[in-house]
Amino acid sequence: MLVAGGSGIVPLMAMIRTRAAAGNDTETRLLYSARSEDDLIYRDELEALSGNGLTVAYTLTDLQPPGWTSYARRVDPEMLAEVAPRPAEQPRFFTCGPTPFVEAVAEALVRLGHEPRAIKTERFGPTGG
Amino acid sequence: MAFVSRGFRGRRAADADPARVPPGQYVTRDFPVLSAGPTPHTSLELWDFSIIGELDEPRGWSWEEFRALPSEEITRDIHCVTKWSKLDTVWQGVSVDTLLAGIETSAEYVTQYSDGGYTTNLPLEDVTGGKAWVVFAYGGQPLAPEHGGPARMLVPHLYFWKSAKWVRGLRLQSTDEPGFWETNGYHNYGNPWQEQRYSGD
Repeated sequence: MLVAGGSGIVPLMAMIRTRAAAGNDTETRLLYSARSEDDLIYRDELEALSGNGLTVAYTLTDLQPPGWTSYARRVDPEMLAEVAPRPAEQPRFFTCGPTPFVEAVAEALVRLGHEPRAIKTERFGPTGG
Repeated sequence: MAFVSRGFRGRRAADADPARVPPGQYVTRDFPVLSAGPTPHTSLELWDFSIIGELDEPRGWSWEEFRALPSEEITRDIHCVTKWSKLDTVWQGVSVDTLLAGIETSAEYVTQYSDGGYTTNLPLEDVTGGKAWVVFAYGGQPLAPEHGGPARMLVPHLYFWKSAKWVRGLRLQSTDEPGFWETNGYHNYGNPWQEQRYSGD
């Protein structure tokens, strides 16, 4: 499962493209968080690649377009519990985004019972100091 | 671009003495967090630090015992293999020489091991003689979990992946065993002045 915060989608998109190019159909879920619809990148491409084992869920944290029915808040443990596979399915996670986003997602996944070693993280951006 | 994060581009500190900046590095005033997995959170009640492996007798310290050891303030430049350097970082910690005092060993190598499974390997001589510390404070504050707290290694003469975060002990060995990054394409030694970033450099 891939969890992207803002421009953290970039390396995860590389993984999605590689998977598609290889004709792989391993169950893959993407949860992509952005401030608004305008901040989503690769939207059309993700739509085109959906299916064949790939599902995509979005959450728009600041501004949603009229009629938006998907998530409309920051990624939290409840959202991850709904979207992620259960620990018993032994999923592997890759999460990328600003440092506070990745810290929150990784911690939430561990609290949901996922194995820390199954969670790979890529953080970017300042933490201050 | 609106969605490039602040701090994504390094700011060159115009007043940094170039002689302090290894080749290929830029100076940052920020303190990036880079690790391959979630941040461990170990309670101080359960924390201990051990010296194990090829020595006369294993040693261990609880958090209270560790904090009762003589410690010192250390100011050093640090260099990350991802190309940022941070000058004059200030730490508080216990010298590895203090932890190894009186130990009898024929080991020539040491592996640092951490909560979460991280390891990194070095010749023993690279952590002795005033070159390495187990640090518990940064910038006058207790070391934050994201930066390796409650305690991490500080081995500033090498790239900073050789300073294990969340360190729990040192294993003394007669053989050199490449650790996490060393088995994933990074250089076995990691001297920033010779730009030893990747295997084969």
